[in-house]
Amino acid sequence: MLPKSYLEVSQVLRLIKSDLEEDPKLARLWVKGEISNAKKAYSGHIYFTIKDDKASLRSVMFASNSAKLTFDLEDGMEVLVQGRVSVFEAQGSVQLYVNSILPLGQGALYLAYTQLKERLEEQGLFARKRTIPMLPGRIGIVTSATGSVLHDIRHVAGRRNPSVSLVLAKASVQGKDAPGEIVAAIDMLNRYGEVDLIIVGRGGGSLEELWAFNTEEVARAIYASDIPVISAVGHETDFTITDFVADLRAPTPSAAAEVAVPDVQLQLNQMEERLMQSGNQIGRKLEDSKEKLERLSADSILADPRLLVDKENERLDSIQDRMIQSFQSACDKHKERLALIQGRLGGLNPLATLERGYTVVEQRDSVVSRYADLRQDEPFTVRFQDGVVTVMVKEEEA
Amino acid sequence: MKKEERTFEELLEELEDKTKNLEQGALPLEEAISTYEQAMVLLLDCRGRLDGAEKQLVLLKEKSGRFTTENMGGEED
Repeated sequence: MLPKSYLEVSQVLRLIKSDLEEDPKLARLWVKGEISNAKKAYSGHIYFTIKDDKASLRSVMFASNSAKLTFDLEDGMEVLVQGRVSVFEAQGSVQLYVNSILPLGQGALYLAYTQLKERLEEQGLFARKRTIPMLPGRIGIVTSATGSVLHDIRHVAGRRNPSVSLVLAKASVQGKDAPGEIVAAIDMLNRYGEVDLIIVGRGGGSLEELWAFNTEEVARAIYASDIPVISAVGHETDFTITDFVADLRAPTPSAAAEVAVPDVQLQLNQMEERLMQSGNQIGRKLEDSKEKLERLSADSILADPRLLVDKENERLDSIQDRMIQSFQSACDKHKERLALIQGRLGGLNPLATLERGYTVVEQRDSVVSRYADLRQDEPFTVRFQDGVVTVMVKEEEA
Repeated sequence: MKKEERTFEELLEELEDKTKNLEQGALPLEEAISTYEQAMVLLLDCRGRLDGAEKQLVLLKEKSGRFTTENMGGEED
């Protein structure tokens, strides 16, 4: 016998569904359980089962919600899930439609942090470390305009190098707008292009407050920066993703300024010290040279240039002496020879005989040395040493 | 701030170079003296600039692709 009335399958499910959906307890609830069979579909929807020891519940998180997840679902993860219970008519199953998920245990933020860290590390974002410029003239700072970071950096930088310029690119450093603003600020400084270095900074805070610096977008913006980046987020014990991606991690903003800005006052003092030493060295060198010069000039002609002339004079004198001498000796030789010749000639000179009292008789222009040759009838001359007389024979004696 | 031909950093670098050069002691005396003189002038120049420098902080702004900087005042504290 056929029942008077019956329902179609879909009618049944619609009935259940409307009953369920009318129950305010099921419309918005938190469910605690363990994740299993988590699968992310191409559409972005995530399908998983949440279960405890005794039961399990099929769950779905649509793409619009899963996009907001800050961590990946993993099987075995203890979670608190918030959503509503309804019926998936096509499969006739009760399903949890999930709006948000909070991990238990480690905590959502930390989990997201470690997962992102692992992923970026794998992609090599932490491996690139560029050199921080030695003497940056202009430093870009990404931080809030009001925080202590700006003050600290300004204070330290100004003390160490008053000539350095700081260029602030303002960004919120916490809250939901922070990541986007930080990314925009880094990007703006890169396009501006007139800074040598960027410091991305924020003071200390809880993991939640530091969250912006643990986001993927900020990490990627730092990696994409053409200008080296120093990360100075939180206190010494806080490590953010930003710290790992940056070219250098400074434990605090003040430390970042110390690393970025060399103490030029100190440098100048040291340089002055070194210059003084070099100056002294030059002074000693000069002194040495002076002494050397003095020594050189003391016993040389440089001291008395007349010495140079005297020397030449001396040489001239000696040449002159030698000339005179040789001339003299030549003269003497001639004289001697002359005397010798004279001596020999002396004997032959008739005049010399006259001097001794002899006279010479001449007749008809020739000497008459023999009596026999004298023409007695003719006059002849008798030559004395000092005169001549003409004589006639008066009487023959011999 | 008047526009300087060379930046402080360039001056400091040159000063460092000259100082090193002097320290190596290989320069002929005359060159050493003139290098020393130049280095001293640089040192004074550097000091002068530091004394005259104000801790400069500007706020960078961008409006339709154009950059402007707005002075945020000199020394604080």
